[in-house]
Amino acid sequence: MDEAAPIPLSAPEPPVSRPPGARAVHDSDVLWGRAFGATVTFTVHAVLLAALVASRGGCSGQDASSPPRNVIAAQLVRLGRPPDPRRLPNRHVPLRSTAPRTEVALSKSLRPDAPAAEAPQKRPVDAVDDAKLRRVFERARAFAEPGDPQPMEGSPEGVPEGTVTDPTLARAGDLYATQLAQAFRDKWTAPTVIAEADLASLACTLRIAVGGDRRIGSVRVAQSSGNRLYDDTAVEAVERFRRETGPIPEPPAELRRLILGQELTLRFSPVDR
Amino acid sequence: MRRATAPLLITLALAVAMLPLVARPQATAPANSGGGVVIDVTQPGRDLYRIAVPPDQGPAATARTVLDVLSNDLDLSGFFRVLDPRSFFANLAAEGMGIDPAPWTAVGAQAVVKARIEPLGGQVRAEFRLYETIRPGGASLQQTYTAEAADARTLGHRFANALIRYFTGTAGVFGSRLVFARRTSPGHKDVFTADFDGNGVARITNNGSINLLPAWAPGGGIYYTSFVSGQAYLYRTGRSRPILSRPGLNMGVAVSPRGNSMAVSLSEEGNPDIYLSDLDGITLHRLTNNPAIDISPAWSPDGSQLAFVSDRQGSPQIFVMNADGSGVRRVTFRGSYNQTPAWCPRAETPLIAFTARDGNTFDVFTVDLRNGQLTRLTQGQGRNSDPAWSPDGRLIAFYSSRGGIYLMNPDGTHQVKVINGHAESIRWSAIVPPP
Repeated sequence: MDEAAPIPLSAPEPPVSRPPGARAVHDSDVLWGRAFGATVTFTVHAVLLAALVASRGGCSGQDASSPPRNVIAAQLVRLGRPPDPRRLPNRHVPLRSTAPRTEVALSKSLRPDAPAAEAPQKRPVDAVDDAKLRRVFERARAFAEPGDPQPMEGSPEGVPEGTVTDPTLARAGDLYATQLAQAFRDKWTAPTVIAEADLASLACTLRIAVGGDRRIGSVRVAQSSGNRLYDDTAVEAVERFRRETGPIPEPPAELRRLILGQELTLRFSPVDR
Repeated sequence: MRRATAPLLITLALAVAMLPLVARPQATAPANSGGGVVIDVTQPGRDLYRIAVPPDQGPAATARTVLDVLSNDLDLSGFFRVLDPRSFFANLAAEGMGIDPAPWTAVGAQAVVKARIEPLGGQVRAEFRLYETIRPGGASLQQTYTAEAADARTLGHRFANALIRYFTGTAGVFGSRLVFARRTSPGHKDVFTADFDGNGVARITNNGSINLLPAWAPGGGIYYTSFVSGQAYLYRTGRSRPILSRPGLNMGVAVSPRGNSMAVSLSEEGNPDIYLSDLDGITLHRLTNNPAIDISPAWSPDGSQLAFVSDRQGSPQIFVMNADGSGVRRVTFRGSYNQTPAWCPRAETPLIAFTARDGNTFDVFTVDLRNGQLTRLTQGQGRNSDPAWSPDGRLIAFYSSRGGIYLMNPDGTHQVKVINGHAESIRWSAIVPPP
């Protein structure tokens, strides 16, 4: 598994640890004009970036060799257009903030001995450091060749928040979600008393409780379609699943605490939106 | 060197901070406003609604008739699959008028109809309850009706209509009737009526002549053309004298949706043309004036237009005109012999059903007036002709050489024979028992 390397790095210590004495060196003290300093800075920078890229590649390589993981979070295809095969991709250096992320840090739960329900650690926001880091990046950018704004590489089906450019890769991400959706769809029928024309405009949302034993507990309509009969078909699909299949499929280890003992939201709509 | 250390350290720290972000691009859970995991379920299967109509526990033989009528109606509607009672294992005696959902769910029932039908003097009282197995706690629909013992069948029709209204929002039309002409012996035709489920076939004319092209008159009477006097005169049931006795043919009545006028074909000037008349045939207003044959008028649901058959462009085709005879336009452009137009009574689906000759057979088609799209409803199963829409536009009755009057959905599916024997010129009454 690939968590061995990232875990120590994501340990909840402040990202910018200042050694004693570093305080004395102020930004303005850096002699920017000195070619030597700048070269060293940039070289180290470049080496680290290369290391990052390499480690990323290493991770995906490991992924390919290890058994397929069911990951519930879809990788979204970025909005854009397919790349022109005659052109090389543009360089793209993202600006990142070190402020604590609000999302659930899944890496915590990957430790086998970690308590499942551990709350994400809060880290103090250090706005000053953020500003410094940003300035470093701004300066580093001076070395990049300015180019015309180019359309983002991606796929026409993508979304602006997308992170990968290969649609096939993106689909591999949400195997478990697909597995669940398929399981409920197999149990879902809409009677023809609901006319085809009406059906297309209906959608309802259920909240279902999943116990620690993967069994479905309470089922409630969180958002009605406005058509009582249609809502019933969705509830019936879940009831049939509970009756005929029983517990939901075993979630992958890193998703257990997102699924088990939680409420899932099921959106029933006849057409893909 | 010391001066170079700060950027180096910052860069290192940056790298440390960025690593988890880069290495785990998919480590975020999809969260909506309510939090938690969201699964999209799409593309449901489509199926008939499965309903159970268990037998009544009472002794009355009428009860069985009523429930048979109800089951048959639900089957004919094309919306329901009525489950085979032999599969039921629920304890009906213990359940009484309630249900225990589990044994019904186990046989696949989505709903169960419970009935208590008992004689009440010379009448029959029927109490119906609908239970949906998915909804615990009480009946979803409850109705009680009374009828004369002789009309017990209407009890089943009325609850069937109530069920259709419950599930679709529009009541059903069970209990409405068909009128049609039938060859009774060589050279003779007579007019008949029947419930559209095939019950109560009744002969209306019996005069040893040719009686044809019947049409419903307001209040349940019937117009028809008879040769009983030697000429093709128009008659109405309950009247001894003909309504229209012009020279030539007097035939093919269509009463307007408002019921205050009728369109009819007369050939007093040599070839049939379409006229507008009051219901007693006293005042006549000519709508078509053409050397070709113009026959078979059929009203649009709002009464503003008429469809008819004309061979003015060489072969019989379906045309549409305004109710004052203006704005004639042809609507069928395929086939060489299109006739018997019937206009769908649902205004939101402007369809005309008609009979088209294809080689040496006939089949039922519809044409969509919005785009001229032709749809074939029957094929490869004998000769099929004379379509008539149900008053709610959800069924089409037609005659098939397979052996009688059939019903089908307007897309041609679910064809069921309801009346045995020959039939032509089928018309469907708009009169429906109250739900």
